[in-house]
Amino acid sequence: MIILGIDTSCDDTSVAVLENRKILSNIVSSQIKFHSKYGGIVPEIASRKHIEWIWNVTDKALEEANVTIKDIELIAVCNGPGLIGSLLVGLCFAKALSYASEKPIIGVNHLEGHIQAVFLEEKYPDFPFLCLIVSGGHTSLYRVDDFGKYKELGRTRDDAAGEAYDKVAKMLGLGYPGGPVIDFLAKDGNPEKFNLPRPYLHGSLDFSFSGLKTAVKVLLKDLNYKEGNVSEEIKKDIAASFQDSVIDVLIEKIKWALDSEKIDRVVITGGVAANSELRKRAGMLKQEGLEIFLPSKALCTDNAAMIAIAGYHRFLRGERSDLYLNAKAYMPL
Amino acid sequence: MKIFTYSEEETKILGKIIGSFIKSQGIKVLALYGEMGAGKTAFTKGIASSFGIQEKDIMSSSFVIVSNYEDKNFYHIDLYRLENIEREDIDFWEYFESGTCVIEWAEKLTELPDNSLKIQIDIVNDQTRVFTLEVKDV
Repeated sequence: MIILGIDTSCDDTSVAVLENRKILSNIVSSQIKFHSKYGGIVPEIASRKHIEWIWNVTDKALEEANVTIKDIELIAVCNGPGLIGSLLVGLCFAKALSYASEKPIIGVNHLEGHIQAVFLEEKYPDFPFLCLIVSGGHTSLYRVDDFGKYKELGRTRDDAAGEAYDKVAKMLGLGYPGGPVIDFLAKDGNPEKFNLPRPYLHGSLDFSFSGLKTAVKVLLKDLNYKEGNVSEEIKKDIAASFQDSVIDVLIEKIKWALDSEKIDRVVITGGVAANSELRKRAGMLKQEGLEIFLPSKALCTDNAAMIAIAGYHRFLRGERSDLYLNAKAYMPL
Repeated sequence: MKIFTYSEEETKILGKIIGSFIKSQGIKVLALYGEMGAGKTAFTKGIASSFGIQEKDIMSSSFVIVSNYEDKNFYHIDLYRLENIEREDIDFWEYFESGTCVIEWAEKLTELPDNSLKIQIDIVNDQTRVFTLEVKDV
């Protein structure tokens, strides 16, 4: 079966073509340069760019996959959660395509897409498994018992991990987005230089990174630094200390969840799963007899192939959406 | 008017009280001011609970800027990451007209609609916060 996947939930316009579980194309067109001058994504600009680009990205995806619209047998589109204006562009496009080409359409939850990205890899887990989705917008732990069977075990009560990265990067004058630059600086920093808190929230699988971000702010104040005006050496040490705290918490929570659910396999996905230190530390869990699945970086970050595969599995279960399908900014899995 | 809270829990309770107040007064825009870590999101959790939204469903909105709880006509807006917003770039007035808006980092907006409630949150010490309330042009 040939599946067309569409994701416009945030600031990337993405279209992919799958043949069952095989990726024929997965185009991601990043808008980041239009948003970075604002220090973040501006919803109205994102919507406008999606409208400008969606046809071109679709053409490119079809061309690279060497198929035409006529060959498509299913249209899978992300209808939430995300920026409402952005979501609507992809959804309306998908609905028009479905109507005109008389091909079935299926709505996919963005978080379900992240969870299922691992099934695009050669090596994927058996059920049940634990999944940590960690990105700029989400930090959530799920127990996955089957396709479509997800149980949320915990989520962030305030800031997502990726958001804490962005905020700390801003305080250090490192620009947006913050994840890659902090990861880079941390390599040369001393993670034990500053003792930042580990927000474990004992007894809960929820997360909270708001206090950690505030702790970095207080630390900069104590060191008498103004926002953005920090010496290179201190930047590296703060980056390393901060990253160490975030990753300690993520790894510890994974262990708690595996323990309480009596599961020994975990998938780590989402934009922050591209972080080199998290990948390294997660890899070390293998020594404890756990099975660790880290999708490739391109499949961890937002992309339409993950939407296509989740849509495909829904379709196989007999699910269909219709043209009344609506987008939702807030849509728990 | 100045109000003190002595824990995050109390900040949420105050939010709930203010939430019922703005509901009863028909105030549509609540502008929050206060440095990082002041407790704006915790306060918003309390406000939202007066609108039938569960505390756990209010998280930071910094990433998405606008969290839309459409069935409750409630918008949680966070302008932290935005600099120099111009009216042409982003039309917040559309949100102001369609429901109740709680705006974190409201100082990044050049103007607010009439009948907005402005609340400044200041950190006194680790746990203590002081809330200063001011209604614009009633």
